[in-house]
Parts: sequence; C-alpha cells; structure tokens
Amino acid sequence: MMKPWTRILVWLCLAGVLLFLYAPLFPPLLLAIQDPATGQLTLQNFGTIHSDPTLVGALMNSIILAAIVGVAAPLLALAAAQAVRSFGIPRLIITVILLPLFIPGVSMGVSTSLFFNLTGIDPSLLTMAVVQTLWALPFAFLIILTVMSGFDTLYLEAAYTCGANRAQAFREIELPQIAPGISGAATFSVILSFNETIRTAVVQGGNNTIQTFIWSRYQQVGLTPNMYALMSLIIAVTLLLILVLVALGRKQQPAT
Amino acid sequence: MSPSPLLHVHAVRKQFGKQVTAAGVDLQVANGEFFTMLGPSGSGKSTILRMIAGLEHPDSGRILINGQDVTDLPPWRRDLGMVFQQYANFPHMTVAQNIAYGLRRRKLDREAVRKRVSELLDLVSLPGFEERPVTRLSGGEQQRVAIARALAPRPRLLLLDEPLSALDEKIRREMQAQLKDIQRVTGTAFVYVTHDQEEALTMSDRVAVLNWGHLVQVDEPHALFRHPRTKFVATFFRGSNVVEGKLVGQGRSSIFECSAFRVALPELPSKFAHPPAVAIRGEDLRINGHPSPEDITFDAVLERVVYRGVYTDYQLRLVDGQVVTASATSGQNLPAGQKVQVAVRPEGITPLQAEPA
Repeated sequence: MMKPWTRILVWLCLAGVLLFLYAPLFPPLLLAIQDPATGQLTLQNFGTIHSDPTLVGALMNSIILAAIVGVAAPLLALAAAQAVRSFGIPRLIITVILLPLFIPGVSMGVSTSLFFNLTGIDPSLLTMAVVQTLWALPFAFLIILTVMSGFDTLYLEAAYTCGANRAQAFREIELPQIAPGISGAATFSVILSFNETIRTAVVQGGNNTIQTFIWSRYQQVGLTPNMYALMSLIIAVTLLLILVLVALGRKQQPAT
Repeated sequence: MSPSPLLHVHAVRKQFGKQVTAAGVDLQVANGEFFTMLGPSGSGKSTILRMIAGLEHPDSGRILINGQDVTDLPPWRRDLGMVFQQYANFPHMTVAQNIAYGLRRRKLDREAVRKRVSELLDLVSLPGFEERPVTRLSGGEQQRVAIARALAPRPRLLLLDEPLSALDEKIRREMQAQLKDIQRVTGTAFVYVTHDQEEALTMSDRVAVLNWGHLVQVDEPHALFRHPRTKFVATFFRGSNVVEGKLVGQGRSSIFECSAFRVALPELPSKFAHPPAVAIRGEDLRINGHPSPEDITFDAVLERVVYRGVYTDYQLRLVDGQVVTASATSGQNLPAGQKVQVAVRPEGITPLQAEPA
C-alpha cells in the first residue's frame, strides 16, 4: 500500500506532465473564442471561417486529400502485410521497408518533388496525395501488420476445408477479425494526412491545405481570429479521432 | 477389378529441409472406415493428414479420392471436412453461423440451413446452442461445434488432427465414445491423427503406426496390440516387452534363443530385427502358475512389485540381465528379491522385424 503523501506526489507529477503536454494548445483556443476588438468571449470567429475563400479552398483540399490517403494507405499497407505473411519475409527486410520513416521530411519532400519534375508530372492534388500516402504508409503498414500477427492463419485453413476459396476466406473470416486494425490504420492515415505540412508544401504547387495555408500566413502576415477558430476545430477533431482509435483498440481485445 | 478405395495415398514423399516427414507413404482408406494414424510427434502423421486435406503439397506421389487425382486441387475443391486440435471455430460468429459456414457455397434456402444446423447440434449433443457466441463455450463444446461444422456439408471424408489433445482426461474419454458414435451414425470415413495409443485402439477400425515418415505397421487394433511387427511398435504400446537374443538355424525351422528360453518361430518375418528380438505382452507372462506342457517356462528374479490399481506390475530380471515386466490383475503377494518361475504360451511370443529404412 502506498503512503498518502507518495500518492499525492504521483498525482502531482502526472498533472505536471499533462499541463506541459496540453498547455500549448490553449492559446489558439482562447484566441478563437475572443473578440479581436473588444476582448470579449464570442463564437463569431467560428462563423467567419467560411468567409475566407482561400481558407475554405484549403479546407476542401485537406478533406479530399485525407479521404484519398485514408483509403489508399491502408489498402496498400494491407496488401504489403499480406505479402509479408505469405512469403515469410524476414524482419530485417520489413525494417528496411520502414526506413523512409526516418528520412527527414524536407529531404523526402524535395526528392519527391525532383522526381515529379524529372518525370514531367506537374504539382497537383494528386502529387500531394502521393507524398502524403508515402508518409502514412509505413504507419498504416505497422498497425495492420500488428493486428495481422494476432490473427491465427489456422482460421483460414479451417475456412478452406469448409469449401471457401482464398478470396472468400479472406472476406468472410480474416477481414472481420482484422477490421479494427484496418480502421485504425485508416484513422491514423487521415490524421497524418491532415497534419502533414513540410512534404506537402514542397509539392503543393498552387494548391493549399489547411496546414500549408496556416504555415504560410503565419510566416507572412500573422494569423487572424478565424484561423485560430479553425485550428481549435482541427485540434478538437484530431483528439476525437484519437479517442475513436482508442475505443477501437479496446473493442479489439477479446471478450473474456 | 475392385472398386477404387475412398482415399488412396500413393508413394507420397514430403521433406522439410533435411527432415523427411513422409518417406513414400502408401495407404488406402475404405468408405465408412475409422482409420487412425498413430505416432510420436515428428513422425509425420499430421503432415500426411495436411497433404490429404490439400493444406500441404507432396514433393512426389499422388493422392486420390474416389479414384480422382486430387493432388493438385486446392483444399476447397476436395469435398472433405477437417477438425483441428485448436478447434479453429470462427470467433466472430455464433455457433449456428459456424456450423452453417460450409453450407454457404451450396445454394440452400434459409430454412434448409436452419434444419441442417439443428440436426448437427443434436448429433453432437448440443441442442439449442445455435445463438451462443462460440467463444463462450468450454473446450469440449467448442470441439463438438468444430466437428458439426466439418460434417455439415456431408463430406465423404473427415480428417481429424489430434482433436482431443487439448481436452482434459475425463472429457477426452467421453468425446472418444461420442466421436465413435458420430462416425457410426453418419457413416463418414474418418482419418484420425493422434499420439495417444488408447485413443487409437479404442476408436479405430485400423491403425497405422508411423515413425520418421514411415508407415511401420497398419493393422486392426487387436493385431497391432498383440502382435507388433517391429521394436518401435512394440515399445510404443505400454506393457510390451522386447527380449533380445539370437537365431539358431535358418529357414522355416528357425529357433530364437536367449539366455532364459528358446522358442521355435513358426513364421519368420522377411527381414528379422537385428539383433534378433521378440515381443511379449506383460499380461502373457504368468508367474508361479501351473504351466501346461506346451508353455515355455524360465526362471527369473522378481526385482520390484509396482501396484497400479487394476494391474500389478512385476519387474523380472532374466539370467542375462534383461528386464521384462509381467502384469497381472490377481495381485499375488510376492516379496521382491525372490526367484520365480515364469510361463508364457508360444503364440504370445512375436518375432520382430527390422524397422523400415
């Protein structure tokens, strides 16, 4: 049994860590609900988000990209993870596959941009989607690989001997059991896509995402209250998605 | 010409790296037969079963079902059922959904499926279990669901890979009887893999004993138990003694001789074990009885008496130091260290062959 004062100390430390983690998120939140002229509390900054056409365009781009990456990355990752299992690819090679994770974002973005230049592909939403998918892929791959390692392939053999072919066994037996991992990978890819700035900025051409837009505004003229409002919304949505991930992870634990 | 057997495994070889798990295996299983492959772990029995199922591909040799060569067919086109040691029930489905899984590919209407599922639940003594989540069942119940699932599409052949090994002793015995009943009622041919000699002897019509990828002996349980063909088979079954000696004379009138006794062997195996050896079941050795004239008798020293409940084991040392164990139900009260007279009928002595190489 812990002594009461030790217990208090532990909780104080935890509170300190949480404060350190979350305090930086509060200034945009406070600025978002403040009238810039009077300093009074207000929600009108949220209402003026849509009055800035560049901002709305950037938001639309972010949503489209997140949707593409959220689908493409988990699908590619699933295919890769299936290949790893089928061909028994050793761990070392998996690690090599994951190396791009550790290459600095700017280098990765610039080299991709040069690649597109050399191959004559103009910057567009598509190039941005490719860069973001490359970024999200290793994460999605790791998540799906982890879930799949918890799936016993004996279930597939049981399905085969029940008359199901490979595709049927995958769809009816494996997919329902690894679905939490795939939705986890999709959620994570959406978050990564939404938050990615550096790699995207290098290949963005004339298109903006929320992140590249906020970044350039911040550097050039400073931020406006409606952008603080938007940042608050993004932070809220991200936290929400993380909570969904945690909930999915909890559901995935076998019922005992 | 005789009709082709239900299952014909012909000259099947399989090797994983240097380990040979099937060294030219030949076996045939008839319709409705309960056929068991018995062997220690690593004997290749599970691999042979998986090749029959189509989950592994043989390096060479053919597998025929009803005369049709299925060697290159995937498992889902072989029309057979399989039961695994770890049940492998689909955890995201109810009992009924599991059992109905093999029926999905047969265009059955909902009512027909419901009827078949309830029929099978009756067969495996789990009536009314339809809507239960499969993960909440006990081991024995899970395995019965797995058996029902495998039998649902009425396969011609059911393959069972150590299906009772994960269950505890009491349930295992109940399930042995139940499996045998299910096999008799459905008339499905069973190919059963186990390392448990009792399981093999109690359930099977025929048993194949495997070692290092070889079928050492294929026989009915009684013949296998009474007359093992090689030392490996003899020592695999509890209660068998192997006595080594030498052969005197050649041809049909061969005489086996060891320090304790000599016996004329009526029929000699083609490749005698080296060194020459015979098998004698413990219950065939009678201590201080009243031997009949044709009995073979010899002296031994009673070294130890082990009480085993129904049986009592008597450890006997022969003149040359070989040790044999006699078992008796009578529980004679004999003190250890005593010299005793042992009698055995000549037909209780089985000559042993060399192991297949």
